[in-house]
Amino acid sequence: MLKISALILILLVPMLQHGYAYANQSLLGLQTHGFLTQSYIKTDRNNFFGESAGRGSIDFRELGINSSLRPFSKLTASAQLIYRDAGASEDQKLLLDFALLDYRLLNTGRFNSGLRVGRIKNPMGIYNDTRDVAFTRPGIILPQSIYFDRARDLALSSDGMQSYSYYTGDSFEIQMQLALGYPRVSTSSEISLFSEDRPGELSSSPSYLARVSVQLFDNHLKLSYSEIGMFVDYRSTPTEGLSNPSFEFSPKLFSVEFNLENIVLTGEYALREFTFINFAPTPGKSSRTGESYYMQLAYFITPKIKLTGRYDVTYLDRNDRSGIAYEASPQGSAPAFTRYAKDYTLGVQWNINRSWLVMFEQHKVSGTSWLPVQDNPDSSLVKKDWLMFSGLVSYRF
Amino acid sequence: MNAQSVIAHPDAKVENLTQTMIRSIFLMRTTEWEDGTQIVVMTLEASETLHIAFCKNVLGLFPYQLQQIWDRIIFTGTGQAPHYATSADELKKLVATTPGAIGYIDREDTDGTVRVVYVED
Repeated sequence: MLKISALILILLVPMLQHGYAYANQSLLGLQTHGFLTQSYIKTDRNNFFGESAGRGSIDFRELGINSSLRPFSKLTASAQLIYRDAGASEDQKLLLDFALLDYRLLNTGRFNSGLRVGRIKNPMGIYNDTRDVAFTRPGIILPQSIYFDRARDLALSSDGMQSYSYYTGDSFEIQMQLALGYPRVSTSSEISLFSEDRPGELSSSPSYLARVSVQLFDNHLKLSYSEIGMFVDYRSTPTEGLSNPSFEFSPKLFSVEFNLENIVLTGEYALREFTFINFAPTPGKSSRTGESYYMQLAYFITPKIKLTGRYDVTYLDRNDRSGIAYEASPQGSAPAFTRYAKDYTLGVQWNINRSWLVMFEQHKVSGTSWLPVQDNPDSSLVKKDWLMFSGLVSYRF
Repeated sequence: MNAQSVIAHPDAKVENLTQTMIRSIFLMRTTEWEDGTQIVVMTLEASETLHIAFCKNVLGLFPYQLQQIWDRIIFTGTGQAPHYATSADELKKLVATTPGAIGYIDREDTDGTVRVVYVED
């Protein structure tokens, strides 16, 4: 029902806006925005978003359209639909990305806050809440250590509520968001959690998310801390012989951004704790903590052309960074290099104007911890060292 | 480059705005005036000299930072985009004729059609 009404809203709004132009917009506060992005990916071996290892893949495209209404100054209603193709790992191509009501409780200049209800994007780290919009990304794919695409569904948005507040000081701003809701789960989240599509179903439980940011205007510095407590039950089938299995994902993420006129330095560090409860024939907990970080340097050659270099590291288990202990263990069904990834990226981004964007980037990767399983069904063909080149064109309105 | 003035609709029930308040408005943190009127933010394209100077001197941000803040608001549905004017002249006219509007122009270009609420030092 929600999907249908959002669809109607999104289809109607451009029609309403057409011809009324500005006068209508100020009357009803209607706005419509969207984007169309097409990418090309070529790898020398291992597939990423389609059969990229052969002639290259064009199976990575992202389309989105959103509308927002502001019937009176305290209330905003908005919804966004996204269509996304990303090789074999995207099993839910069209989705209602967000649909929410935002009510302002305080609007005082220095202190502003409000409440949102509905399907809300998860504000985690710097890029998560707009991860499908190429214009807001530092490159074609986000640093996979933190914004891994192979379990993205869990990270996208939650159905619930969120409170937000901003305190604007003379030289700083403090921002805080606290969300409670049900994260979204799908078959691809199952595959990334268990490395296979198991017979049962995942079902999310109430989870929380919090992000606090401080921006220091005089020092051109922004610091953020995000924390999630995500709880997901697994409704197993009797043949699996499990009793009330569930799963907890609780990442903690530190983010730093430093801005100069021509330089942007960005770094994020995450500890990702996974706990599996009652997933063995004998009830009990097993947990591991993954570790991720990246450092990124962007340089504006001109205000429209930017070069970006990044070093991005993922360890699925920080107590076994090399993966050697995993490979040697009885449950180690895959080589050590599937347990980490080190990615060197060089990219160039050209913002032709406000509507058009072109990007190219080259990755040199060692390890496959974030390589989509679905694009590489025969795990014996997966190689440790691989190269990836990609190009992207995006249009927005 | 002359100093900038921040201008509002002539009926705006506000005399002077602090730099902090202007930042809060242009970052879309504050969305209504004290009397409850909706604030309508007017801007020039990011490549315009006047916009670059306004960002750096009044907001204390580089234009690419302001663009990122606006893009994140638009594509998370947590607010609305500013309205773009094609020239400083058009921007002044839009501010003069749109209730609740706020924008910025060269100090030399201010006149009685708009209310000046801030003048850069």
